[in-house]
Amino acid sequence: MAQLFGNPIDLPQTNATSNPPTGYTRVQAKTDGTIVSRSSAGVETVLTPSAGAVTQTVAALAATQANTTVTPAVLTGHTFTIPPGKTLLLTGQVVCTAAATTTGFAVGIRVAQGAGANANARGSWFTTVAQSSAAAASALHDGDVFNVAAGANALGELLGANSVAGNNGSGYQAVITNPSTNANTTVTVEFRSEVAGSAVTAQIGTSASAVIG
Amino acid sequence: MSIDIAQTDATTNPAAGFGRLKARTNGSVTARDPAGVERDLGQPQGPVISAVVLSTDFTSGPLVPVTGLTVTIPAGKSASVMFIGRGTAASGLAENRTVGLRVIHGAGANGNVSGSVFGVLNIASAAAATALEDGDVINAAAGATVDFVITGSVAAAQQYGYLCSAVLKNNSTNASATVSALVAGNTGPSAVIGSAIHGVII
Repeated sequence: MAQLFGNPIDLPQTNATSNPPTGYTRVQAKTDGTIVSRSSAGVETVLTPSAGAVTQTVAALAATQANTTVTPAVLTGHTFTIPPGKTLLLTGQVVCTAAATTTGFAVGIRVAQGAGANANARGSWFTTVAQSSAAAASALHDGDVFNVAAGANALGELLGANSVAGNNGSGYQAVITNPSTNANTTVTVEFRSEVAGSAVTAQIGTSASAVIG
Repeated sequence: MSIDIAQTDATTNPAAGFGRLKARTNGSVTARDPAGVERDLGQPQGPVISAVVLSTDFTSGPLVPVTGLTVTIPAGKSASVMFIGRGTAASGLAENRTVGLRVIHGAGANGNVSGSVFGVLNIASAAAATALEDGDVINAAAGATVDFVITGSVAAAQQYGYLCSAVLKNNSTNASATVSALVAGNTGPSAVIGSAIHGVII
């Protein structure tokens, strides 16, 4: 039967390790500020989950960004850091215009593992590139995996070989985990032109959502 | 001084203006409000990421779940699940390649797992190749196993990428459900290192 308390309950902080009787669960405040439950078998469970276990970062281009080369360039703001022991869930879209109807564009994700990391960064990505302004146009699809050692980086990329006038869209998803305990993993979203000297221009609003937890 | 609370699974609600601290018989401690909403204080209250990434190649043969690539949806929770990976076909023989998701709902569940799934399979080695795409709905009853798969045919040694995504809700209050990555292929790994499944559980 529940008891009514007209005021908040203040518990003295203690690290005592005695156990409650069978059929009861103990609620105890500890000196580190946590509140724990304790079973009759002595199993403690923290009742105050750590804050900020999952974070979300959103990147969106506030200005157009051109690339006239066939060398991948990082989209402004599309750099994400995975701390040791964390996983990144990345979802985004890249919308480009092309300088010529014969110029396609490539979208890629680069995974770089920190120098000295004691485990590889691993994961996978999948992307779709629609090389036409028509909503019903056929799209290209491809996926790949990453297994990147300390100090190395790897680029997964999908190139649309041709284009038409108008916007060309791409959507992608990625799961990248950093199992190391001592170094960060950096993930960037990159794009480039199919043809040297013929620009592709990422449009305002090109965006990504990065959830890390 | 600490508080020892008798364990109970009673579902009565506290009076208006009160919040109830309760010990359940499974050892958890919960907070229950006057509207009957009960939260396990030992579990994170916000979204939780459940992700598994393969550290070794997985060779399948018949259609089977990829070892370790499973996400659990607790009772009453929703999940956005995604399986992304790459396989290889080592032979030049024509053969089928399959990827998908398997939903298994717990026995005795008092509500179904329902939602939808969509998949894309790029079966050819060329990045510009046409992909196979398909979607379906899921409505898994207690104890049921429901598979969603896409199958394509390869005729040369090649790599292939795939993506399966799903949004699912576990409508039960008493049983968990699992979502597993499925692959099949006759030769070569069907899921290589880096292939991954993740779920955002809300």
